[in-house]
Amino acid sequence: MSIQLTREEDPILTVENLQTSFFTDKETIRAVDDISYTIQRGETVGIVGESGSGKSVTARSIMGLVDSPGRVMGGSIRFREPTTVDRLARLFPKRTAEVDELREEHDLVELVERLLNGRHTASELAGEEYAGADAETLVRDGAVDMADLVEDGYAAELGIVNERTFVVRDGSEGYVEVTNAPTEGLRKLRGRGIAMIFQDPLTSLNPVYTIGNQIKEALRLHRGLTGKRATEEAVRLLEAVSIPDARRRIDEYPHQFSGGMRQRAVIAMALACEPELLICDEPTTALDVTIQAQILELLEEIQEERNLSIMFITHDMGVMAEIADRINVMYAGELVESAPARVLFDDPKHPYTQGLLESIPSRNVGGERLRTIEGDVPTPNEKPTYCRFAPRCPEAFDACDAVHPVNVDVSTGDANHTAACLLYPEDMAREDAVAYHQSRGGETAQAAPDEVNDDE
Amino acid sequence: MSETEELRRTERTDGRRDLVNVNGLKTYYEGGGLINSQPVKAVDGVDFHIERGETLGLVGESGCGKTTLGRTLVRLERATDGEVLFDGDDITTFSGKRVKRWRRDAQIVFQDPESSLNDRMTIGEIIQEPLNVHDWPDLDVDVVGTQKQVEVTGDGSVNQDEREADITVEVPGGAVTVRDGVPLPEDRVSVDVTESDSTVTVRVDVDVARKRLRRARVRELLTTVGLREEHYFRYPHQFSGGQRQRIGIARALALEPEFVVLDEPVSALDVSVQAKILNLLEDLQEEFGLTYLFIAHDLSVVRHICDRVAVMYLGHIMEIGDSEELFENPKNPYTQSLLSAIPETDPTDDKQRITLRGTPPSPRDPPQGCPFSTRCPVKIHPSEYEHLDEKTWEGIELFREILRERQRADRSFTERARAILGMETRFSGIDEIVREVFPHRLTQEREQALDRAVEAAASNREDEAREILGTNFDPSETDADFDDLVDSFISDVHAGSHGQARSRIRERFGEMDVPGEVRGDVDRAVEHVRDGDEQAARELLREEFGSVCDTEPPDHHSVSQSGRTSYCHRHLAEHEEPEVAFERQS
Repeated sequence: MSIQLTREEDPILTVENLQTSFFTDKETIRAVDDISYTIQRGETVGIVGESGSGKSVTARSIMGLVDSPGRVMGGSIRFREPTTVDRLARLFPKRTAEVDELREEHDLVELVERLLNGRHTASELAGEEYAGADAETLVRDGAVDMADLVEDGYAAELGIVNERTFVVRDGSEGYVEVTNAPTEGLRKLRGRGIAMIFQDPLTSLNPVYTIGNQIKEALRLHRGLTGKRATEEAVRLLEAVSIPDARRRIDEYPHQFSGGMRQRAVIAMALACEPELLICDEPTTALDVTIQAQILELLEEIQEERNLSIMFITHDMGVMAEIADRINVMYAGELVESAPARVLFDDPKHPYTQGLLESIPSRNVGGERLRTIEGDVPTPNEKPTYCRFAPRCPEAFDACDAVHPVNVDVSTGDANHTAACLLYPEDMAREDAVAYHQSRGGETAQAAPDEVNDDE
Repeated sequence: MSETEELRRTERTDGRRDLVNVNGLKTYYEGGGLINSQPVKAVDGVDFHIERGETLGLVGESGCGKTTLGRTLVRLERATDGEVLFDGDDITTFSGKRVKRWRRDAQIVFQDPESSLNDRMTIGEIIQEPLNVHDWPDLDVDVVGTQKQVEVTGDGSVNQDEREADITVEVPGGAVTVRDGVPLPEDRVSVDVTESDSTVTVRVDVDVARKRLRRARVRELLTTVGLREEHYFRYPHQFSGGQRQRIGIARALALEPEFVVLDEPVSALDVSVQAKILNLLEDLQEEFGLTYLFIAHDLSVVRHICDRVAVMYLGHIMEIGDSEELFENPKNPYTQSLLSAIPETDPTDDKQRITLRGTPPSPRDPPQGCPFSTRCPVKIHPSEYEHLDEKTWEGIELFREILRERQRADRSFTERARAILGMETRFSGIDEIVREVFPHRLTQEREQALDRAVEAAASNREDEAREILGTNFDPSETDADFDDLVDSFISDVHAGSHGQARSRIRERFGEMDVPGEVRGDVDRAVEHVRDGDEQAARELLREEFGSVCDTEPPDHHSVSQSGRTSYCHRHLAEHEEPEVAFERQS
């Protein structure tokens, strides 16, 4: 399932401090509250959590599908895929920042000086070790590059790029900033760059068109194929998702397909656009186990063939164990633990993950009572100044109500395992750990309001 | 359970351990159409029993008939044939008052807590409704301590059924005890006993209105299922999924049933909530001595909560027996496939997964023989073809499946007209199916050319790939458009599907890679299809490649000491056991 990943390689998707809220008359619900994670090329990243934990909203934010009364309030979602970047740069030249051109047009030292004379400090630009350094040192040491200025938003502040820039190209590298993309840009990004499969295949299929017509529509819109070539390609795609007798099947309507076949057809539609990242939102939850096994096997095959990246959302830990390389656990809008699949199941660190695993019947067979997590998932409607899991946590102590835990490294070996809990880092004394969280939490708390203002 | 009740229950059983006995039960839904109205055989002849106080799990894929079976047991569906004995009485023959009376003993909890609660009623009203319908409480009276004829007047009536009476009066003296389940303080019951030579007349007056008793009962039920009394006046939409399921459970328990059908009670819930409901169900079973039929498709839940399990497929019970034993060592091929499909919550586990192909057949037109024969990975093959390899068998079975599927697909009038006129329909293209289904092989030389073409296309030298294909393969050998074929080949390679690209060429220019005798039969079947006689093609294939699995329904063979049975031909002495066959395949 997993393929060799080179660590140096940039992840295909980087989500940083993403925050998506829903506004109702009564309250503001912070459905996704400051989460960060990455997806590597060819990797399957799973997101688990109970209903209401914000998994689907995360996916919809990445697809730019958050509808009113919801809004992406801050953070960034960067999609790094060269062909998509090139395509969008061609379509939206005015909203593209060409880093190479900027390098030629502007003097970097001068730009940095302007920033330092303004309200920014050197440590802000280049990190603590450069505190107090002047512009020339920063540029000479390579601590600040034009690409950094563009990525961190200083370029827009200096007025050298359009504020509404959402495509950044630096040589053959580059990314698309999804949170900044206009509706038209999102439409071009969806499908060919990022495609999504939903839980209920009937919601993504139109009952009055044949399966073939719907696949052909996707082919026409995203790849410009029409007529006989589109038909041939549609047959090829249905064959690729193991639908037998495909040539006849393309002339059938969704109701003539069984549940598993429909989900296969939806996958075929998603593949029609040749996406680089496939987001699967509970794609097997409505299916029987035998059919679920078929679909999981199919996804694995497709991934292997095309080196596809997959983000897989489910609440079923069994499915997660089967398909994911890396698992992110969400609770009440926050990411509370992240680890490679094996590590997470062997050695869960966060009390919530531990409780979740212990409440699965198959992990404690026999007459024993299932361990449960008391209480319900809270609705995250205020800024967390405490641990949202504390009221239900068997390990909670006083500080849990007063300090908001941040994700800290809990890995043993090179597993890259993080958890947001005041119990960690384990090697620190309890008070030191709490202080550590407090100091790190303070930073993000300050940064957040700025971002919100920028957006409005 | 109070002591008297326990006593009564044991008395009543007369040594009978089974609460429910199902024999040859069938539930069909009539077609209703004008033409071709085959009934849907949702439950097609099942036999089993449920012991008092145990939990029987019923598992299977959607559409296998498990919900219909559950609903038939509580008479929400009418049985077409067979009997359901409840405490020895066949409830399918009950009518009128008897049904109503019996319904108190058998209740159901529905899967979807969203749709099984009326949004416009408060929780109190919802739980109270069954009490109102059955005019609860009966206020029936048992008079103990006398041999004389008993007469009861006033609010009470003489207890006429086997349940414990609500009020027990001791004579002489008139000491009153009220059963646990009725929230009536004993001092609110006044009793007046008059004795004559042959009769005792007991006048019972209850000082509390029935309405108040019912409300008190509802409050009690709310706390029993882990809700709070103040929830009484709230509406369903104010509750989470887990809480709603608790309300459904409280409603089912209101009339103190003995038997509860739980129809996927936790399927719509998150794991942590699911665990709470499962624990509650276990507590309630212990407290009230309930007997459960637990319907679910999540096998891990069933394994956790059930004493015995029945595995259903297409209206039949494929295997039934002790839960732990069945999960540890499944005997039936269907059970084995189903269990191997459960995702393990252990990423290091590399168990051999059996992936079933296709979907279950239509219950309107089930297979003649074993219901699982169309998908069974260890189907018995006729002895003369025993030597064929798995790939060939897969092809044959898939070919048969496609032909069967085509028969099932609706054909419109225009479609039929075109067929009669000999025009091309979407049902044509049999050659393509044969190509798709059976493996094909190229000569070594051509295979090497194909390798070169794939390599060229993969490194974006399309023209070179075209040329290699053009010189090595003759367009006149195939009826397909050669240029289209090459285009598809290249786009396959670009999409990363090298395997598909290769087989595209192999199918068109290669030899069918199956033994000669199979090839002859397939060719004859194809001939039939070309002549428009798919029926003949199906029959020919069944005769050649079919076995006892296609023609005869199996028996329920006993497969363990504990009386577990499995519905499969392979348990007969002349065949290999399923696990041996699975072993041989892997």
